[in-house]
Amino acid sequence: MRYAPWLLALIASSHILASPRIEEEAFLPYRFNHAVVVDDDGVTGSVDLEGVRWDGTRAALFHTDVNAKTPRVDLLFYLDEDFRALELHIPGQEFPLLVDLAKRESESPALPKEETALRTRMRGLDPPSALASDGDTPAQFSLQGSDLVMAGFQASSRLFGLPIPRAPLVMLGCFSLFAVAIPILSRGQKKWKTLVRAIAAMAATGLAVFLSHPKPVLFQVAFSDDGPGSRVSGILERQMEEWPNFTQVSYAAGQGEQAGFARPGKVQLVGIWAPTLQGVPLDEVASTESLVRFSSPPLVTMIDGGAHLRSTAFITGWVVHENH
Amino acid sequence: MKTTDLVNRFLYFGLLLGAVTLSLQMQSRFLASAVVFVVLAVYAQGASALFGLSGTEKGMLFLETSPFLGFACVFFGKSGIPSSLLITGTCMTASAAILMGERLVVKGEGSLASSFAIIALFGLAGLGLAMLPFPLFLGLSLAALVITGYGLARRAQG
Repeated sequence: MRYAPWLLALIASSHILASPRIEEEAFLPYRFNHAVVVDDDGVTGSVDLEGVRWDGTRAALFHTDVNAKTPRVDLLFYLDEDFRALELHIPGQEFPLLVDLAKRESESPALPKEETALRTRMRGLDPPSALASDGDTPAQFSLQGSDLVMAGFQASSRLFGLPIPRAPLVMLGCFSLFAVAIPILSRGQKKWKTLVRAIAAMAATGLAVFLSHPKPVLFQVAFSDDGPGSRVSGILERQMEEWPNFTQVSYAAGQGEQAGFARPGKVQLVGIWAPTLQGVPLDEVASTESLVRFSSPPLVTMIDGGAHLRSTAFITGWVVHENH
Repeated sequence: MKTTDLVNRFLYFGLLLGAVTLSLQMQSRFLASAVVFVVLAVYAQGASALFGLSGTEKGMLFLETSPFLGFACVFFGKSGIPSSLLITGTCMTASAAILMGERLVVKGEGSLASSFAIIALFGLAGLGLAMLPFPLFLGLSLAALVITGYGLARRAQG
């Protein structure tokens, strides 16, 4: 009996050591953060990370499906100063793993001057309202010589237009005409007529699903910003690229400069509409070194080993590329 | 085919196309598949009652509505193409089971009460689609389809 407390302590400590934990260098706001979930028993299934804001509301930050049992799972997620805690949900764990960001921040030593300056700068970059109009976007846009945030508001209201998919309407129109006309046109037996109508309806259903499937859209507007207080002007030109899984609409200063190309110090206004599973590749939006601020946090999902951004609503954000 | 039937069909599909055109302009693009399913099923049920359709013709009208259901499930949903096809297929299975059940129970063109009962069943199916785990709802729909199909086959044999 006298060994019982030791035995209990041993069991308890082994449980603590075996329980999953999060390993990270630092959780920094206005960046895509990387962390690792370590579980000696192995993790399998859906891994979800949620952010808890100061007002208690939550936002999904990361999701991945782990098919084979693994002791380490990489997490990649966006953070800003609206979040006070993180909750990690792992299959098999009754309670989520908690990371109290506010407590960590208060217990850590004072921030370096550079970090404080970066955060102040990002606080000043208010993302424009996340309202995308429907319709085609203009090929050119003239900036009015205003400050960066105002230019962002102007650009987002004029340039972020979700394409209207016309193909399903045309297809459904053709099907409707066929459905109205077939009982008049065909003079065959009723059984055959019914069979043709049924086959046509099922084929049209498949085609409607295929044609209506929304393709994520990534808008990028590049500004050659010279720091706080500078004014941006000039003409932005549109470039559109159709990728297999998403559409990229980029605006940059004319004469050959590509908006997708991130040079040091470049500031981009981005708009993301990615309600589907595929999302927009993170690499196309920002790198892990970039400073970012979104109107609402995107969900990072891992697809075939690559990070993709998703959001059920249209979101906007500022991306300040590395070395700025 | 009578001119009135032609006009009816023209109006039926015209209204659906109008709804699609309006949907394409919508800013908010999220609507649960269950809601879409119930709205379209009630529309088709109402139209078939108005046009005096029953049996195969009524089933065909529902089947011809399925491309619009497929469009709406994808356009307003968040699923990929395979999931959307599966949801649309499941909705079609549930509709077929309800219509076959109606044919089994209701004689002739049916009454207003039976029409309301069918609408209630579609509402219940929509609730099931929204609340039950998807595999369970699919299983129940398939089971209902097999049972009603068996019942109709037995009746046909006399």
